[in-house]
Amino acid sequence: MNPGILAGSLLCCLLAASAAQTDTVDDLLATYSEEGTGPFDESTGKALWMRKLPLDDGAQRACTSCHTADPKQVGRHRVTGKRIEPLAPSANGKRLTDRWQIEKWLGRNCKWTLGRACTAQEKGDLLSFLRTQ
Amino acid sequence: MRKTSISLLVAGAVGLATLVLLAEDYEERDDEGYGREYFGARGEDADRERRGRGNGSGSSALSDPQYTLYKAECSGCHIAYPPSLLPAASWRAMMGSLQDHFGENTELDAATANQIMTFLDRQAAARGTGEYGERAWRATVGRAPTLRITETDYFQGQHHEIPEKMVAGNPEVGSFSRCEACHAGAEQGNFDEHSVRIPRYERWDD
Repeated sequence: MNPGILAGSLLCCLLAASAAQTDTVDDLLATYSEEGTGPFDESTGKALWMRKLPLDDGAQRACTSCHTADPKQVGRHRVTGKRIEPLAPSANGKRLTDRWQIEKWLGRNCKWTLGRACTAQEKGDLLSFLRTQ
Repeated sequence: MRKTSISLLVAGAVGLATLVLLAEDYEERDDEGYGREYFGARGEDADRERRGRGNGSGSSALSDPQYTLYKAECSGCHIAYPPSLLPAASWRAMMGSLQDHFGENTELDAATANQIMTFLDRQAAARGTGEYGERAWRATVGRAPTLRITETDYFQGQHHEIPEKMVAGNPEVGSFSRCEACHAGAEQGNFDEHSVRIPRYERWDD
């Protein structure tokens, strides 16, 4: 096969993959905006990611408890020790491509970490941060 | 002299026969009284039992059309536990408390949760569901449904002789809930004792 064609099709595939991520996150951000949010900010998202939150039982929880401070790193479940693949799209091409998965995990993990569901603003800020990783 | 020899031989034969007859009735139990009802048959009997029930593992779950969904949604933090290790009542209680699943939030939308519960109902421990399923079910009959496989009589019967240093005190294991640490085929429902490998220790032989 002509190397040029091969390179061209590879490039197209890569672009399509990253486009898929962009589309999914953009779709979600659009949905969140409709619920009445301000502009989304990646540094606010990062601050939320890093924040250690005290809970009623005295425990401290954060996204970093399982995912580590760097979304590009492999994480571990803090109880079972199970390996968690990186959340950063740059390290893991499957991340941020499936709307249902994103909503499912944000639903669960916001409640576990914050003790309540994330607001549309918080979700948008978080995704804005994660997509840059 | 000859009469003595013959008498000795006869006495010996009678003695042996007695031992053989007694041995057939002898019920092997370990120090704490766990016997056949927990371990099932041993040796040849075990092989016969296994053959009679097909492959005798939890693998019917793997060929269930909803298994992929179960594995995708229920093994993000631990292995996809073979459903035949708990009765349906336990799984129902589990699926009804996803917002507090051993301290974690594992909520699912209703449609997905219902699909998974149907699968679990189908594959749960019950009479005739295969070697492990039958034993797991038998040991839970008449008891309040537990959420923890490790709390079932069946599980405890199999593991009660294992010292803490090999599990909780073992950095490569940590907890009995990590089946896969010692049972490489755990997710496939294969807990054959001959293929147990406890990290850092010799093969388990009881």
